[in-house]
Amino acid sequence: MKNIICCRWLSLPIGSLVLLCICVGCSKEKLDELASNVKKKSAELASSTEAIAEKAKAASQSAVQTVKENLPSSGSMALQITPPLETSSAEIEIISVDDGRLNVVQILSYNPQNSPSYPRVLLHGTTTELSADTLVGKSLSMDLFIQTTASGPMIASTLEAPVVIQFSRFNTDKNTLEGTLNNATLVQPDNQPVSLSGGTITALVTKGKN
Amino acid sequence: MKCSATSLCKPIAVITFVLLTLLPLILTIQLANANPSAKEPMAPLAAHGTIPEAKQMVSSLYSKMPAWDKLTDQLIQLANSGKMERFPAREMAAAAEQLFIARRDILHLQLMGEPAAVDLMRRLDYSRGHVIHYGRQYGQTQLGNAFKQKYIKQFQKDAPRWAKQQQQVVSLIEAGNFEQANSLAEKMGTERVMIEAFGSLQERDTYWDRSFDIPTMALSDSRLTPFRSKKYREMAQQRVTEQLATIDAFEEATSQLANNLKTAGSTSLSEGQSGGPVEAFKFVGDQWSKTHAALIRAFAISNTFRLRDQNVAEHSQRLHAAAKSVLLGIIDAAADSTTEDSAMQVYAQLLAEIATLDRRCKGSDLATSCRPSLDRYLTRHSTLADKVKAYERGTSEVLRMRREFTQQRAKYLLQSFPTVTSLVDSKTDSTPPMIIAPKELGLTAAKTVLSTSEQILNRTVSCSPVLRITPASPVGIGPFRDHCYVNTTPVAAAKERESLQKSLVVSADHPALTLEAADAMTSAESLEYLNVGGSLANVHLEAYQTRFVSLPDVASVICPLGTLPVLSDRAGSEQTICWRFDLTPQWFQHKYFIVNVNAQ
Repeated sequence: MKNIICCRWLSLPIGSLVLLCICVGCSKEKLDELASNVKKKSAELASSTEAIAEKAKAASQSAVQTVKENLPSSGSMALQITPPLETSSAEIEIISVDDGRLNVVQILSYNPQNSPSYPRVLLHGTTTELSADTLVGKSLSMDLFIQTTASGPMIASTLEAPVVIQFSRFNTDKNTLEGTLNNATLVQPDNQPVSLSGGTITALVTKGKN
Repeated sequence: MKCSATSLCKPIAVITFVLLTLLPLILTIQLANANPSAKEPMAPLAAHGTIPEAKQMVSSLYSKMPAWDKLTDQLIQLANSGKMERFPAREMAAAAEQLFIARRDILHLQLMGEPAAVDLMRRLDYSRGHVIHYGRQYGQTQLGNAFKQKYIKQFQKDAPRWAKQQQQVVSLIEAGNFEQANSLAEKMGTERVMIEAFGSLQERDTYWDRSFDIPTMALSDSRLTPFRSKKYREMAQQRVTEQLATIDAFEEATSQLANNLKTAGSTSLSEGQSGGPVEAFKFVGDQWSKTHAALIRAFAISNTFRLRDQNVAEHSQRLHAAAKSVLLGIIDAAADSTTEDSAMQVYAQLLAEIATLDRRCKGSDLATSCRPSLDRYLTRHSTLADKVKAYERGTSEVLRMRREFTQQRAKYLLQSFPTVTSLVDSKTDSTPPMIIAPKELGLTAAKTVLSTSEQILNRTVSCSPVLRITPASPVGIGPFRDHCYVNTTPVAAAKERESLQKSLVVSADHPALTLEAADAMTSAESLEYLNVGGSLANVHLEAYQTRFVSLPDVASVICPLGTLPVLSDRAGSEQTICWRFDLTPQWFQHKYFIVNVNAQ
C-alpha cells in the first residue's frame, strides 16, 4: 500500500516534465535527451523509494517491538492433553467476599463478559491467601474445565482428583503468576478418561471491580 | 416418684420412636392409595369419595367380586367337562340376586362420579354374563326346568301382591320419594331376578321385562337417575366451592404479612406463631402449596361431575398472582426492615426459600419475578451488595461450567433411558400391535395392569424432574405429565454435595449468596434432581379423576405451582388412566453433578 502511494507521488513530476516539453515544442534530439534524463531521474527516484520503504519498514518494526515490550502480558496456558491445548490468554484473580469464608482462586483463559471464543479453560479453587503473589511456592487443588469448541464434548477434572497446580514465580514487571500443572486424569462426558501430562500457566494477575 | 416418671416416659418415648419410624411410611401411603399394581393386580381401584358413602360401597363391592369370580370359574369348568347337571343351582340363584343388587349399586356409583364403577361393572358383567348364560342352559335341562318351575309357580301366586307393590312404586314416584320407590323396586327385583338367570327368552319377557323391568324398574330409574345426578352434582359443586374458597382464606391469611413486616420487622403467622421475613416467606409458600392442592381437587371434581363454568384455571392464575405478589412484598419489606447486622443472613435465607419454592413452579417463574425485589434489597444494603457481587464473580463461571458439563453427561446417559412418558400409548412390535400403557381403561383394571407390567417391568426409563413431597418423606415424585407420574427414592450424594459446597465456598456459617448458588445447595441438600434414570420396579394403575380429586395437600408437588393436571389431548373421563411408575434409580442428574446410585 505504502509503495503504491510512493509511485503515485513520483509519477506527478515526471508527467509534468513531459507535458511541459510537448507544450513548448522541443526538437527530437532535445526530446531524446529529455527522455534519457527522465529515465535516469526515474531510476534514481525508484532507488530512493526503495530506500525510503526499507527505512519505513525498519522504523515500523522497531515501533511494533517497542509497543510490544510496553504492552502488559495477556498470559497463556499450555495443557498437555491430546491434542495439546494452548490459549493466548490467562488471567488469575483472588476473589474475596470478605465475610470470613475462604477466597476463590479463579484462572480464566477467556473473558466471561465477551462473546464466547474457544478454547475456554477454567481453573477454580479456594485459598486463604489474599493476593496472587503470596501463592508462590504453594500448590493448590483446583477444578479444571475445558471447552474446546462451542458444542464439542467438554473435559473436566473428577471429584476424586482435582488437578494440582504449583505456583512457582511472580513476575512483578509483567504482573504475572507462573505455575505448572501436575499430571492428572481428566474425564469426558461419556466417562472416557483424558490424560493431562502436565501443563504450564502464565496468568496475568487481575483484580475485578466489585 | 422418680421411678413412676421414668415408667411414664418410657412408653411415650417408645410411641414417639414408633411414630417417627412410621412417619415416612404413613406419608407414602397417603399418596399411594390402594390401586391395582403389577404386584397386586387384583387390588381395587381407589374411591375418591366426593360423595362420602361411595367409599364404603366401592370397598364392599370389590370384596364380593372374588366369590363371583370363583363361581364363574366353577361354571366354566363344569360346562367344559359337560357336567351341566351338576351346576350349583341354589348358589347361582343367590348369585343372580346379589349380582342384581350389585349392578344397581354400581350404577349408583357412576352417578357418584366414581371411576371404580367402570372397573366394577366390567368385572361384574363377566360373572353376571356367565351366570345368565349357563343359567339359561341349565333351565333347559330336566333338573333345571324343575328348579325353575317352582319359582314360576311362586311368581304366579305372587302376581296380585306384585301388582300392588308396583302401584306403590308409582305412587312413591308421583310423591317425589324416588329413593323409597327405588328401594321397593329393587326389593321386587330380587324376588324375581332368578328368572332373568334361568328363564328362556319367552319366560324372561313375561316375568321380567314386561311385568317388572319396564313398568317398574325403568320407570323408577327414569326419575331416580336425574334426581340422584342433580343431588350429587350439587354436593360436588359444594366441594368445589369449598376448595375454591381456600384462595380467599389464603389471601386473608397473607394480606397483612408484608405490612406487618415493614412496620414491626415481624408478623404473626398461624395461630400462636410469629416470625420475620424468612418465616413469613416459608409460611406463604406452604399456604400456597396447600391452596394449590385444593385447586387441583376443584379442577378434578369439576371434570368428574361435568360441572361447567367453574373457571378453575382462572382461579389458579389468581392464586399464582396473589402468592407472587405477597412473596415480593415480603422481600421488599425485608429490604426496609432488616438491620445491617442481619442483612446477609436474612438475604441468604430468603434466597434458599425462593430457590426451593421456584423448583415447584413452572420454568423458574418465581425466581425471575423475585430478581427486581432482590436487587432492591441489595440497593438498601450496599455493603452486602459488594459482597454479593464478589461472590457472584467467584461462583458464576464455575456453576456455568459445571452445569454445561453435567448437561453433556446427562445427554450421554439419557441415550439408554427413554423418557417414561414415551411408554404411554406406545405400541408393541407384535402383530397385531398392542398398546403398552393405554390412556383409557379398555379392559378390567387387573387385566390392563398385568398386560402393561408384562411389557415394561425392568425397562430402563428416565423422568424429569424429581421433587420431594416433604423433607421427612423418602419419596421423590416425578410430576404428572401425559397420563403418568413417577415415584422414586432419591439418594443422598455426600461426595458430590461436598464438592459443590467447596466450589460455592459454602459452609454452615457462610451461605450461598446468589439465587443460582442457593438453588444448587438447597436442591443438593433436599435431594431434588433434574432427572432420574432407572428401571421400572412396579406399575400402578390409578384412575385419573380419583388421583386428583383425592390429592392430599402434602402431594401438591405432583403439579407445578400455577398449573393444573390438564391432559394435552383430551378431557379426562372416568376411564382415563393415571399411571404411577415406580422407578428403582440408577442415577440422578443434579443441575451441577451426576449421582451414580450404585457408587453411593
